[in-house]
Amino acid sequence: MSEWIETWRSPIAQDALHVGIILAIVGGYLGVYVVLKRIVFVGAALAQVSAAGVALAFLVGWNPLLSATLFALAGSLFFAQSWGERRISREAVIGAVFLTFSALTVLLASKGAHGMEEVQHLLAGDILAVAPEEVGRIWILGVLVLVAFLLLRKEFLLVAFDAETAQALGYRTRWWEFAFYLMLGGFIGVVIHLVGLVLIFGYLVLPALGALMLARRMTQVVAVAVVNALIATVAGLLVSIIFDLPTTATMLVFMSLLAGVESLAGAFVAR
Amino acid sequence: MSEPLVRFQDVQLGYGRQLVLEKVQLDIFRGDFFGLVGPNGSGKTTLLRCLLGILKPLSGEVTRSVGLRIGYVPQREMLDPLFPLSALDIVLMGRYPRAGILRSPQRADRDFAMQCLEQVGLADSAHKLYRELSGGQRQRVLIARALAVEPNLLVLDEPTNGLDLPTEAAILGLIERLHAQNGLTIVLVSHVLNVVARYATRMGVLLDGRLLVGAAEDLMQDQVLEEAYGVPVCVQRLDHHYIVAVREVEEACGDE
Repeated sequence: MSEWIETWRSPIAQDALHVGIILAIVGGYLGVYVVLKRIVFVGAALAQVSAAGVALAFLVGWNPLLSATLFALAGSLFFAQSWGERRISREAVIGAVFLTFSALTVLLASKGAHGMEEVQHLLAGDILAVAPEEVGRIWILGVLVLVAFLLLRKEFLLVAFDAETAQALGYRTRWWEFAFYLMLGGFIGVVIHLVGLVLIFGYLVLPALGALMLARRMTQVVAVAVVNALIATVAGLLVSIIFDLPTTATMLVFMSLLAGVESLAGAFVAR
Repeated sequence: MSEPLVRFQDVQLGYGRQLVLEKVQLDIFRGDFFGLVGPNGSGKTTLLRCLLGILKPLSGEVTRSVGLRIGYVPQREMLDPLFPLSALDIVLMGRYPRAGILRSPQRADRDFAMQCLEQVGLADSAHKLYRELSGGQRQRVLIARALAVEPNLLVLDEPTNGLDLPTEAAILGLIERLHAQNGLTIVLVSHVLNVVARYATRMGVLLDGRLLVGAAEDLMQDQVLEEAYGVPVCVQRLDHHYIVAVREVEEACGDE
């Protein structure tokens, strides 16, 4: 027992915990909007676009953080466009972007110094491998995104719920959409090369799912989503250390479990 | 006559190179109850978007009077009931522009939103979730939100779509009351001709890319509607109501 307590108290685990906490708060909050706006796969596609940016950076020797962020911002600009009536659905384009950038990531990484190992890291990531100097950076970004989102939450809510009325009220919805995607893309871009695509995607989807089933008010939904993400982060990290399991997968299992239990509880209460 | 709240002067509307409406001349005066009708795809939404300031005209000029505040009631189907928002949350959205960016609505805004809900007869349901309300109640919530803007022009897009007869009558009664008692200027867009003709003092019929404006009794004529809808129709009047029916080609209007 003392062995895992020692591991838990180690700087590596503590750094992972600190990173996980801010990811849980920001991801849980943004995730509520991602699910409500029905853009779950935009989150996945943006994460994949960022991953391609990291793979390219490793190949040509750029700064991976900068490259991932630039790729994510370009993706945000693309997805923030209003789709309207076109000959192909938005879903098809999201799928095409996801597939194209997945292939691009593999191709770029295959020519990089670490080859497929790099792809594996970009996909699954490892929160335990976050460098100590990154922790403060992620916290600063996380707090900035969180504060900006809190200050602008009513505008984001109105534009997400009823863009046409927002326009009639004088809001430039295209800019608000872009601002939302900018925060989402910026957040994904900065953290993807540290914790991987799957964990980010998990934070953006699973905590919000259970929260939407369980809670009845927007503020409650956000609170439950953030608490879900926090519980899954701490429990996942702890269990993965105790049983020597992959951390990302363990956290995701906890997020899924919470989403499942809350969905059942929500359905039971609604009956 | 007083200065119009909104004036369209020789306006052309469309998207990119696609022209939808041309030579639109329209004045919406204070106190008007203006009904806009036309077949599907005739440009009702395009004209509405321009009226709301969402779509810029390709040419011509749209002038709005100083201090114009538009309360907009969109089609209910456009809103996603997945959002965990109460009736009051939604009505409060009408106060957002007054609260300003970075600031939350204040106590006075909540009180005003409650008054708006009261006005549409939904004060008791203020804390119910929007998704748990009936179609008619949802429509009332959206009207209350439009009232929360403190508008001098209320624009409603297909407010009776998908409602049963008693609910439709109640919603139309509410709109008429807001017009008559509160002096609100109304623009009602609907594809249900008799509904618009029953309440509107002036009407606009979209006909072949143009807007024909006139009194309801002048436009609710067989010939005008036949041209607009491209089918033989029969218009009859019963008290204050118009009855519009599509007729067989050989059948004369009014025949048994």
